Amino acid sequence: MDQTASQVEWKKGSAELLILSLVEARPRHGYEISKLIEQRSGGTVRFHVASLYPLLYRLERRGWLCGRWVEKSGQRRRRYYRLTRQGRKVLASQLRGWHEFVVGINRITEAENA
Amino acid sequence: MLEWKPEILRRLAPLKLSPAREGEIAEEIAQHLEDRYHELLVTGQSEDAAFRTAIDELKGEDLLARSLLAVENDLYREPVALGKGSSNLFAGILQDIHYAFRMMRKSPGFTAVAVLTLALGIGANTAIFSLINAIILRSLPVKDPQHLVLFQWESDKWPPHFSMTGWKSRFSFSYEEFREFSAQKNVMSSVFALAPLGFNDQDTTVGINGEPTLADGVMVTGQYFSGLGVTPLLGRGITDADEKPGAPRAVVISYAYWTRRFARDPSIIGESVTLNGIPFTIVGVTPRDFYGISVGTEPDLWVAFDDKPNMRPWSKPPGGTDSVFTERDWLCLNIMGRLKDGVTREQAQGALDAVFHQFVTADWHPPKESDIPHFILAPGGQGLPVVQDYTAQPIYLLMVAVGLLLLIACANVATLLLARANSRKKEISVRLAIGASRSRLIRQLLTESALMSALGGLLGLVFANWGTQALIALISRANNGTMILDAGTDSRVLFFTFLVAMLVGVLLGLAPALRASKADLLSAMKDNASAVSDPRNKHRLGESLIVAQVAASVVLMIGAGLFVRTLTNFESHNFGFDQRNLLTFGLAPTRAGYHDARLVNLYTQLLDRIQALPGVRAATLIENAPFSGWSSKNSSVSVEGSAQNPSNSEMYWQGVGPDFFSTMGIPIVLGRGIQRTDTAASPKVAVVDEIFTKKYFPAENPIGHRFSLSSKYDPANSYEIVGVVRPAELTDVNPGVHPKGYASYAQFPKTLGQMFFEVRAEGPPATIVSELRNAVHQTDASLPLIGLKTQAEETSEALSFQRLFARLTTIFGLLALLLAMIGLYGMIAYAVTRKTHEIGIRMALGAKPTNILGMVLRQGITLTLIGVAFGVVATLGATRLISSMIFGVSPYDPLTFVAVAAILSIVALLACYIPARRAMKVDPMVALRYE
Repeated sequence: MDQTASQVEWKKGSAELLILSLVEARPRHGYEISKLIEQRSGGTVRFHVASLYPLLYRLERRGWLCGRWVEKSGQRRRRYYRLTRQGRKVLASQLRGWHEFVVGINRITEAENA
Repeated sequence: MLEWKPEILRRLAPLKLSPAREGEIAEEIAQHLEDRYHELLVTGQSEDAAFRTAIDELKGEDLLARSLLAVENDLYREPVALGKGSSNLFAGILQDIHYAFRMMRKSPGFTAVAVLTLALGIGANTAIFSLINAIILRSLPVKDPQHLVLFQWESDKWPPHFSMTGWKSRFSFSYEEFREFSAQKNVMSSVFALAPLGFNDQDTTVGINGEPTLADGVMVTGQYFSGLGVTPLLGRGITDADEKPGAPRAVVISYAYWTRRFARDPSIIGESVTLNGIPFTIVGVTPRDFYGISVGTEPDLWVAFDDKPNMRPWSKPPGGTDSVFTERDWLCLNIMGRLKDGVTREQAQGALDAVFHQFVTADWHPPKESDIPHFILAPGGQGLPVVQDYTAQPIYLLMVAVGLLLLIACANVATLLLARANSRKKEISVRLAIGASRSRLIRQLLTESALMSALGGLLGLVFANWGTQALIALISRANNGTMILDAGTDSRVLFFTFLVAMLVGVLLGLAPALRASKADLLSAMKDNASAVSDPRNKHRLGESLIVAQVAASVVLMIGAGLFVRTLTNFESHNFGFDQRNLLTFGLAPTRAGYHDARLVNLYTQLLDRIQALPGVRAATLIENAPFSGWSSKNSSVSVEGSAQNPSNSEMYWQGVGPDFFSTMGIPIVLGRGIQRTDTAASPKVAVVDEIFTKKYFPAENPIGHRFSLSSKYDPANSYEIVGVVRPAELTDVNPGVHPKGYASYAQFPKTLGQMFFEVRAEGPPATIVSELRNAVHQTDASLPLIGLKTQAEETSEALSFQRLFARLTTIFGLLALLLAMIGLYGMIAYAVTRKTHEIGIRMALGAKPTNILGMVLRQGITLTLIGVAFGVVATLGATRLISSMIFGVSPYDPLTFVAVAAILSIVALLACYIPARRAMKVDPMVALRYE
């Protein structure tokens, strides 16, 4: 096991948020999403295939993402995911919730350390 | 790319996803692993190590499947184009229907034409089936009709006398027999009988507040209502108590009569009326849907059995005691019954047959044991088959006609579908190429045609509803408004329509579907730009469909032609008497108490009064209303001094009044007519027609000779021939060549209960109607005029059935022509469109527009002529079946055949000309650029 139990828990809660925010700016394919998560977390957060794609399909099924096969010349076709209007609303509310949570945590920890 | 997919597919297998979805997931994940693999190579890993690391992303054997399970387990809509065998049949069918709707929306014009055509075909079939259902299939609206039985017997030897109910001797029994059957309580829970009061719907004179009106009455035995299980809407039915001698006379009236005469007055129970002058009390009103025991008729009132001179069951009484209750061979009852619980029809038949056998042999000693009639206990759920008997043949014929019409409609839509299947070849090839199975494709195409025919069926039900209502109205009119039918849509009709629609759907879809799915992938995907089409090969099916349509419409049109000619032949037929300015009406004075000499006096007195009216040229009497179909028919005639009888010595016999031949305009060839001096007291005389003399006196003057109506010459009951007249047909519009004889009505006092007056007016007969009414009213105010109408109306009414039939078959024939021509037009137009390229090339190579016109027309006309040839051959075989229904025209009438062939060819030429002209105007340059 390369992940601790706390990491698993953390990922479960935040995985949706991560994915939605990564495709907010522009559509991305699955491998790109997994790469970005790994890079931006400095290698601490990693999704493997067996959990990333089921999650993508779930978000697609909920209507938050929309997947589409795109072919670029000289490349094999890839499936790109973009944020739907509904997904955008969900992301906004999740971000707000996350922000409030972080602010709350900070207040608690700052008070302790002061 | 490395072999990722097998690894992925193995892990997806437990999910049993649709092949399409599975492929999609595998492709996406394989791409991911490939990316990962290349990245690892860049970081310096060996190929082997990179592969293993990448595969490791899948995390063991079952994690992927487990994670996907929750996401993928609900119905996944499989895209049709990629469909192989679907893993989920229900989802697949939904998908098919969804897709079929989309295809229909895509070409609304095509859909509308196809659905309308099918609706016409299915609607016509449903309408005729509704009629069959109402007349032949539906059970009586009574309790447990399946337990009812109908009494009948079978023999051509028995009984020795003919004194039966108005129709079908095999259902006729005497009151004595009825009594013996009723005693069989071990097998029957009830036995009941009925006898009409007359042979038309005006057989009873009902006095309401002293005003005489006419109604249709029936006599029934005490268990009629209880045995049928009919509970009256108001009051009670006729019961056993009403049959007891001295019981107060009770009448039960029908819902319709209650509505018509009493405006549904709920306090009608207990009111008094007179029936043929006898006081009765109204004791009950039947439920709305009850029409007695024979479909198509609806008596107005029911009374208990009685035998009064002016009220007795209708039938010709035999000699002897002349009481319906005691005369053993007076067969005037129809008997029905209800089986006892647990007794089968066969058991009951055995028990009742023994009773019947004993009854028959008690006073009749047949020469051979095999002459004794068999007793049959038939299922009685549908009541007495009165109407069924004479409507079954024409109705089944109509069913065949609409069946043909439906076939034409199917062939028509199939042609359209074939054309479309051709233009959809590319789509279908693409689907096949990307892995759809043929069975899956056939299912899809069948769904499309089934959906179309289902819509056609729904619309057809609407059409059928109108059609049935119109039909019922026509039939009712054809029966002088006396045939009452309820042809509502019930579950049987719905089921029939559903079945027809589904059958049509499968028929329609199958051919194009099988053909389309056999498409050759490569050539089809290269588009259908075959430079020169080869019609011999590609349109064989379409062409056969056109030929079939033309052939079927030839059959229908020739049938219609023969019926139209039959109608005109009837209308222009010389019936042997002058129909102009003739008025007819009946009187039934026995109902008002007139008998014997008083009766003859009444008729004589009335004739005198009528003849004296201004505007009346002549007046006379006849026993049976003209063209009512009624006439006395005697099976034996014996001529004095002639040793042998001609084998078929059937003769039609009518009692007539004085001046009959001069009034009717029937020329007297020899001797004299019936005169006022031919009374009951004078010697019996007869006037015969030329058919009679040709048969019995081919070489002699018949005047002065004598004959009797018996199998052996009987001098005591013989008639002297005093005159010979030209043949005339007064009985039936469907004339047969029978010898006829006329006797003086005054010499048959027993049959004078009802006579018809024939009055010849100077001018239009309408002008003397009120004078006539007054004359009768002044003589006796209690005598209502029965069926007053002009002879022209009478003839027209008598022909209304023929007219109805001619009309219906013409409508079906024209519809068939229309459909076949739409089919032909559609096919030729489609062929022209497909061949635009070819036509362009031909024209570029120097073909003249007329050549092109000829080429296109030739194709259409060839098909039409082949169709006509097949149709004519088929019709030659089929018209035999209708030979009994046509008149004055041969079933192989060349004029009709040629006319139909000519009409069809001309219309076909027109149908082809429109697309042919378009072909002629093709611009070679445009056409060559076309594809």
